[in-house]
Amino acid sequence: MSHAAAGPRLHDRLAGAGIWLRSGPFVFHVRSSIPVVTEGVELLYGDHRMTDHEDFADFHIAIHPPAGLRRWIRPQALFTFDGFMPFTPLPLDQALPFFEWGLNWVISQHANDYLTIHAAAIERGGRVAVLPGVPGAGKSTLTAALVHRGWRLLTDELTMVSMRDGGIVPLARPVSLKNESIEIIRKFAGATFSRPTHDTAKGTVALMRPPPESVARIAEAAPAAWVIFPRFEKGAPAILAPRGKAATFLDLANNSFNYNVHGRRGFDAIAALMDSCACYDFSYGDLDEAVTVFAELSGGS
Amino acid sequence: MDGPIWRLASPEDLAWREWEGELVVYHDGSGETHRLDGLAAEIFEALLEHPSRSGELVLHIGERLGIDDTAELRRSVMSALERFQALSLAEPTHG
Repeated sequence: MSHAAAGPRLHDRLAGAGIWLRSGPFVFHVRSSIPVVTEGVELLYGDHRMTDHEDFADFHIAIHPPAGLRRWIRPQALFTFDGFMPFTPLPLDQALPFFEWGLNWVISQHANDYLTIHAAAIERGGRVAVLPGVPGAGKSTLTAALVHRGWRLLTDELTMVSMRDGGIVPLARPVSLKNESIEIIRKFAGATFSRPTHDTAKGTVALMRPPPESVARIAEAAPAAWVIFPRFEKGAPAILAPRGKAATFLDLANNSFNYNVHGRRGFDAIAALMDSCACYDFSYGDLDEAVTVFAELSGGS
Repeated sequence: MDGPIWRLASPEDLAWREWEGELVVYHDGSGETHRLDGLAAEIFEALLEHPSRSGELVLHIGERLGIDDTAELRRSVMSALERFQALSLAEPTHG
């Protein structure tokens, strides 16, 4: 077992037999000949376990330029999963976010040992706050700030609820930020980012390296204690407002990728979350105020 | 009292939980999940106890919620029962 070496060797390995990358409970076999992906994997997954071979991979991922003219003329990137191409190609310069979006899709569509919810999850003091959020609500920006202020990153996108014991299982993958949030978090936290990718469907996107402390504890699941729906509103004071559990149940089910797959067990899983969690709406306009509210919530400082 | 007796349809297909006076009900046959509050929650809980005619439900809910037996209440109860039937949560019987 070895960790990834720098630069050209990692590129050669990714372009050749690939690397085996562990993220949470999953092993990804990853291959790519695209330099921006190599660079991104080295920067963003440098604290994750990467090896030259495993006996088993949960998912086989490849992202390469296509053969033919599109390799050279308006070059593109193709994402494949287990040899299947689930997406249309994207411009080559979007290959790194494409890689991350592809991993999100693979997990959300296939990880049915878990109830997966479109939500961030952060942990402090052994308790997890689940942060569901519609796009643009400020979930990822808030998550990126909090994981640099005493909270551990479990995920910024895919909350995975263990169907065995209800614990929230970490992935500790890069946090995707867009547009003005990139510079806000760069200044707020001194975080490390990939090169920004412009003109994506979401605007300008950059990926934030997960804090090493979060990656070091990637095997530690934890129980959920709060479900908090964040909403950024410029100038708004930071306010936690209780919300009803029945409404929250439906919102979590609607934000889940596989609630319907699980049937009755999915119902029981979310019901258990509602039994154990306090539920809130959270509006905020200032990250420092938000950090203070969350610290008070968790009993930390 | 005339009219059919209403009962929960296939209770073995149902799972439900209550928080803060609201119910979330899962129906295994359809895979649908429903949130019931106010009148709908009261009717569902009443049918959990035993099947009832709509008139009995009106009286029961009137007592529970301190509401007079009015034409509006009777219409609301019938509307909720018909909605439950459309969702396969309840059904009328004539036994």
